[in-house]
Amino acid sequence: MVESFLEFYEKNFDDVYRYVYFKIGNKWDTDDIVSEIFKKAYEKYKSIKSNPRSWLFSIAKNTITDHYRKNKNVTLEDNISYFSYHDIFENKFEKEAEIDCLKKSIYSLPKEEIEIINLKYFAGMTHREISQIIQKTEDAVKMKVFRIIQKLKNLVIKCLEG
Amino acid sequence: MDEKRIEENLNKLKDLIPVNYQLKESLKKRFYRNRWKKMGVAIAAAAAVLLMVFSFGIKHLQDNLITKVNAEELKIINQISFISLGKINAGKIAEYNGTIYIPLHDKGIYKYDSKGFKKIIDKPAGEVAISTNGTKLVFIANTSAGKNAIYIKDLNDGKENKIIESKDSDTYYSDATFSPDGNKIIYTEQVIVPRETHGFEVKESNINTVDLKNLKITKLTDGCCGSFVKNGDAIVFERDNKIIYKNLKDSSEKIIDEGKRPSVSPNGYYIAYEKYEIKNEKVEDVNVRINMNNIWIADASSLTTKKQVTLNVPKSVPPGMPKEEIQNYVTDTLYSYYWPVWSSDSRSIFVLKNLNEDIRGNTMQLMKIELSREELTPEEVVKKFLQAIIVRDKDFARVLMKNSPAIMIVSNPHPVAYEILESGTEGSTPYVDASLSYEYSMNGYCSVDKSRYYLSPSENGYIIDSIKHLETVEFIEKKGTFYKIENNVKTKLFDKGEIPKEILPDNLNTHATTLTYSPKTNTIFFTIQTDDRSQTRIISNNISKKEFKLIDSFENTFIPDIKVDSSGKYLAVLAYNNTSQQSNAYVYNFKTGERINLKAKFKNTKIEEISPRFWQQDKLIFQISLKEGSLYYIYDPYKPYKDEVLIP
Repeated sequence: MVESFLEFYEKNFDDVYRYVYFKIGNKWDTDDIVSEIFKKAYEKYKSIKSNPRSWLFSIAKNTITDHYRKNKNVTLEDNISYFSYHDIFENKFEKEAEIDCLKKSIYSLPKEEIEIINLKYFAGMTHREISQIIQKTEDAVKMKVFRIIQKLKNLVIKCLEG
Repeated sequence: MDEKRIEENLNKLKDLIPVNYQLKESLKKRFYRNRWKKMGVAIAAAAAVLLMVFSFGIKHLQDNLITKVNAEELKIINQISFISLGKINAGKIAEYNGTIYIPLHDKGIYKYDSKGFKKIIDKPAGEVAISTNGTKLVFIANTSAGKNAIYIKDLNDGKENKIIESKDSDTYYSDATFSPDGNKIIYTEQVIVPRETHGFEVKESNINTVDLKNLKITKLTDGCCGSFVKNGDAIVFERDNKIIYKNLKDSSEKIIDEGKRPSVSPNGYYIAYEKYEIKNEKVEDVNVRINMNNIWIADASSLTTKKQVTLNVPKSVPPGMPKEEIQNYVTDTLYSYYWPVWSSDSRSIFVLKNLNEDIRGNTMQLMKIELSREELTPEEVVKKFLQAIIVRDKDFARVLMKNSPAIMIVSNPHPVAYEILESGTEGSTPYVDASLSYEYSMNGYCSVDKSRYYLSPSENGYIIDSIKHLETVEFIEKKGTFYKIENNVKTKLFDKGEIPKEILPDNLNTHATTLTYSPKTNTIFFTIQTDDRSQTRIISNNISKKEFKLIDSFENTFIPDIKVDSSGKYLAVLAYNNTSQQSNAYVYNFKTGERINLKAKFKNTKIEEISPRFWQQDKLIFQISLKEGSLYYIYDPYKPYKDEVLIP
């Protein structure tokens, strides 16, 4: 089981790291949280029957929430967004206007929609995996993703027009 | 533009989120190591024993999973002096999650947070410390009978309790701090008696603990300034000007360094302390002996590495002293750095900083030194450098430069905003282009200087090697006419007569008072005031579109200072009401047309003055002045918490 945990770790580390970093906004906390997530995953891995990836991202989500509760004195779920979503993308001085507009457009989305973008595109999860994390049907997730992309398209166009 | 394109760009963005592969490898090694241990034991032992060993393995893994680096590997990523206390003396502060508790001499203990500056303890105290869960403060004050006592204030219910009281007026308490579990207080007990001739003598100095459950007092050792080390069953303290680590299990002691007032980080990893050294230098044939003082950090667990985290400089030879007559000169440092205290997240050190020169104005400041395991990128180095130039933190600006010039900070025109424009490499040398905007207060002048900063790798990431000036654009108002000066060529932009009458004050005897320029939107912002000061208008002129706009109008108000942010979307304004003689600061949001009143953010703080200081790219740093001192705050119009202001 431990060997397969290492494979599992190898396969998922990058996605988990990006997911956490995008939400947290600084490398120091991200390093600690990611370490904590894999520590928890290591302890419980052998008891997992199915969908280990959804399970891992649920751990990630809870660990981030715990981090805010513990460190930022945040108790309300809503307030968590106050501390989230800093611009963490490398090469901040990206001259590509489209990418720049896309970044701005993402940050202007509601928190739940940013979460879906993070899970789908930065953590590379499937609709089915996301549905297990956010507890919606797979079709509902698919529809949500489609709508968010359309919304982003309109926001990016507006941004490019200045 | 279609949905597919958005998805492609989202995938591009994914690649721009960096992954810490070093962490990935180090964690993997730990999992491997753990597996090896577990398997080795499994072959040899029975199932029950295996379970025990596996549990130990997990525990061992937990202890080691959080990556940590040695003290010398920590990078200083920022340094900002954000409280000026003037001539008021502050004692040892405490911090928890961004809220700072400051004891002010003879005045009591104050709380500095996003809501303002408020006295929370009346008793005059020289020091305060906070429990690791942030719920209790411990402080030392005199009782009405003139004895010393240790008090605890519960921040949840506001109750203050006296824990112990000295047996006589010769016994003094100091350095009280909580144990990591909050169940004990460690403190210094000193017996100080007058000498026969003059002065005082410390007859006894003990480090004690008091158990908060049964108030039982235990002596741990001789010395002072003790703190517990989290998870270490150890204390760190000062004895005979040495920082000592004492293992409480076997009572062994190890000297870490020479120094004073050690403070252990809440995570138990590092110790910050004051260090005093004598340095001899030869300056222009004069032997200069400097009593050097700086703050250092050392490892609390391995005790192997140390690092200096402040940069002090000697005081200059007093003017008028004939240098040729001086052979030997003994001097102190320009600043005294003392009483280092860790932030609750163990990532910053707060230090009191005193300017050792007898000048008017602010001499005592509270400084925050931010540490990181990450190295600063070239852009970050230039950002911090420009910020240090703007807030006149000369010593930190010097840390970021290889060959710093003797005079670095000019007072007028003063820098008010910076923007990073681009970065890249010339050959193999990294560079960053940035602009720095300057303004005169109460004067129709502003300029934007573009420079290229060349950098090379250093212990904090990068250091600025040289700065090449690229261009300067100036804007100036003279007798009602506005000009742009570029490459020494003066171009008239417009004169007062071209401003639409409907946006000018009714009274025609007017003059311009201040102006600022946004390179992003090619717009200048200026104020026009009637000579009798009865009306003031803030007006913008988009130079490309030749378009004037009225931003706001005031009555009986003088506007000495306006500052536009780097995006050109926000304008910070300082306004003095002539009738009430009160200052106010506003931020205008050009997108929504909103005017944000910054003074209104502080409901329970009596503000004497408020002034926008500078735009840190898109965040406004402003200052409030109270009778106790001046404090910095941040207003960030882009963030969801924009209704609040934050402390730096």
